[in-house]
Amino acid sequence: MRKFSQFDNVILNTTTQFLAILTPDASVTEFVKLFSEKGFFIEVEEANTVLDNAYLAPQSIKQKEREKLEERLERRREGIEKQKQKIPENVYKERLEQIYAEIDEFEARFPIHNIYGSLPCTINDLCEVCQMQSAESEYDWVDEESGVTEHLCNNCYQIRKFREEPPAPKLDLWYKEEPRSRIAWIKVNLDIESLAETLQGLLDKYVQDIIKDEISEKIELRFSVLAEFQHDYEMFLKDFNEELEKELSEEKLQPILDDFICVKLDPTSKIKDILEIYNNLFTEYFPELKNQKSPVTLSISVSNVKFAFFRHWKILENPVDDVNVALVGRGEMHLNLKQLEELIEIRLPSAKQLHKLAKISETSDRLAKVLVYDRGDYRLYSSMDEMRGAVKNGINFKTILTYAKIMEDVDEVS
Amino acid sequence: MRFLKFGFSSDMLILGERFKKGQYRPVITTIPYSQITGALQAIYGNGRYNGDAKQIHACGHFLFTNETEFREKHIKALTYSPRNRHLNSSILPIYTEFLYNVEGFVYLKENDDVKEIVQDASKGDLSLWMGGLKSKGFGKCKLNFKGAIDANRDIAEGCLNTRLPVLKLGVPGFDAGEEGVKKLIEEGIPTKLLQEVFGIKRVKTANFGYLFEPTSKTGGKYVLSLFEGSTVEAPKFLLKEEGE
Repeated sequence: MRKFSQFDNVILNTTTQFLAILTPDASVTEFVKLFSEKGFFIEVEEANTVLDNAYLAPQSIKQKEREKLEERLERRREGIEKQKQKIPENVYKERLEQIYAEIDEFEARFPIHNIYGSLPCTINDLCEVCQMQSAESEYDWVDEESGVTEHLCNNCYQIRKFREEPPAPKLDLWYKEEPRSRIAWIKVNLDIESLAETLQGLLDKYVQDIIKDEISEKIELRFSVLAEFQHDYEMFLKDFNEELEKELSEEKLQPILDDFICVKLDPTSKIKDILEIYNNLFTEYFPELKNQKSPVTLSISVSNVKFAFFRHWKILENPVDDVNVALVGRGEMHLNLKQLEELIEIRLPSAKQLHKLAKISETSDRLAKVLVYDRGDYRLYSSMDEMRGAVKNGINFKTILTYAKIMEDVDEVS
Repeated sequence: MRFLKFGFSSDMLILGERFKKGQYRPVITTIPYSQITGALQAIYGNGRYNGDAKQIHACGHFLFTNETEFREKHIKALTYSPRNRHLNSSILPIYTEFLYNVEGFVYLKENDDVKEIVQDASKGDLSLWMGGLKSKGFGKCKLNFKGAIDANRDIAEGCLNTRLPVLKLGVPGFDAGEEGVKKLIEEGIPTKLLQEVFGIKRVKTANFGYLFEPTSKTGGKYVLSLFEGSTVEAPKFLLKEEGE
C-alpha cells in the first residue's frame, strides 16, 4: 500500500483503503491489479463524473448529483402530468419511460462492485486461508511447533514467504517465553466516505456560524482538504505510536503497520493508559471530531497470546462506535469519544471490589447490577457512586462491567 | 415458481467456515444452500450424486435485525481437544464458535422430488442434522412447515441473505460453464441455476465465495457461489429486510 500511495492519482489512503482519480479511458481493474493478482479482492465504489463535480468521495458525489437530478426530473414529470390530457397515451408513456431511463443511466454511473483476481468455477481443494483459490500440495505450510499443516494456494503461500523473518518477531517471543501473557491488538481505522461527509458538515457549520453574512453561496470542499487531513492523520498515528512506546516500553510493543499495533499487556488495566493516550492525541489533532460520530475509530481486542488472530480481526475490522474494546470471551465496550472521556475520569472503587464485580458479572449481569445498585451494602454502594452516575449519562451497564474487568488488576500498576 | 417456507430452530449448531490455522473455526450467520440441501438430501435423497441425485434445492437465514447483537446473544465458543487414542494424549485443542438457540426460515423449491418432504412436514415438525461436530451433540435442527410462497410475485432489489451456488455439477443446464460464469462476473447476468431455481433476475454487486458440493460418498468439489451481502434483484424472501 505504501508503494501504491506514491501514485499521483491516489489522493488519500490508509493501510486498507484508498481514494483515487482516474481518467475516463483508464481501467479500474488494471489500476488495482497490483492487489488482485496477489489474491486480494477489492471492493470498489465508483463515481463517473466531470472534473468540476469531482467532490471528495464517490457516495458524496452521487448524493449531490442525485439532488440536482431529482429536482430536474420532478419538474419534467410535473410538465408531463399537466400535458397528460392533451397528448396520446403512448407519447405520455414514452416520456415517462425516458425519465426512468435517465434514472437507470444515472445509477449506472455509480457502480459498486468487487474485483477478484481469478474465480475458477470449481475447486478440488480449497485454500484454508483465503478460501478463494485452489490449495496445492507444493504450497503446504507446516507449523514447526504444533505440526499443523495448512493447505495453501500459491498467493497465500507467497504472502507467508514474503518476509524471511517473521513479520511480528516479538509476538513469537512472547508466545514462546510467556505463553500465558495477555496481548492487545490495536487498530486505528479511517472511514474515507464518512470523512468526506464529516468535513463538509463541519465546513457548513463554520460558514453558518462565522461567516454567514460575507458569503452567499455554498462552499464545497476540494481534494486539497483531504491531502491536508492525510498529513494530520499520519502525524496523529506517528505520535500515537511514539506515546505508546513511551508508556509501554519498546519490548512490549510490536508495530505491524502505522495504524496496527500489537502490545503485551502487563497488567490488563494498561488499556486505560492506551485509551488516555488516544483520547489526548485525538483532542489535540481533531478537536472538532469529538462532538460527532468520528470517521477515525479505535478498536482494541484483548486475549491470551495464543488466541487465534482471525477472531481478533473480525472485531477490529468492524468498529461499532468511535472507541471499541473487546476482551475476548469476557465482554465488549463501544463508546463515543465523549463517553470515553467520562469513563476515563470515573473514580473507581478499589481493585478488590472491581474484581468481585467482574467475577459476579461473569456468572450473571443481573446479579452484578444488584451489587452496584443494592443500598444494602453501604460501603460498596457509596464507592460505586460514580459508576452509577456514568450509567445515568448514557454509558450502558455492560460497558461499565467490561471496564471493571479491564481495571480489576489496577493495583498491580501502582 | 413456488417455494415452501419452513420455520427453523436449533439449540446448538456449528455452521462453520474452514478451520483457521487448524485451531479456530468461526461460524457464519446465515444458512447456506450447501448445508441445508445436504441435510435434506441425507434424509430424503436417493443416495446418488451429480445429475442422478434428487433435485432438492433449499436455502435459509436466521432471524435477526442486528448482526452484532445476534453474535452477542447467539454465538458462544467451545474449546475442544480431540484425543488421539493410540498415543493416549490430546492433540492440539481447537476453538470453535457455535450458534445456540437460533431461529430462522428455510425455503425449499417445490418440485416432484420434494413430495416426500411435504408429506412428512404435514404430519409435524421435521428433524434433521446439519453442520459440524454432530458426534458431540451439535447440529439437531427442526423444520416447521409454514406455507407456500409464490417467488415471482414479490421481486425487489436488495442484499442477499443466504449463500447460493451459481452452478450445479453434472446437472444439464445448471452446470453454467465458463461462458455463463463470465457473464455473471462481468455483466451481472445470473446463471441458469440462479434464474430458474431461485428466481434471481440480476446481480448488481457480487460477493463471491465457494460452497462444497458432494460428488460421491467420500468426495466433492467447491463450486463458485454468491454469498450474503451481494446486491441482487430477486424474490423478497432471499433478501435482508430493511434495517437488518
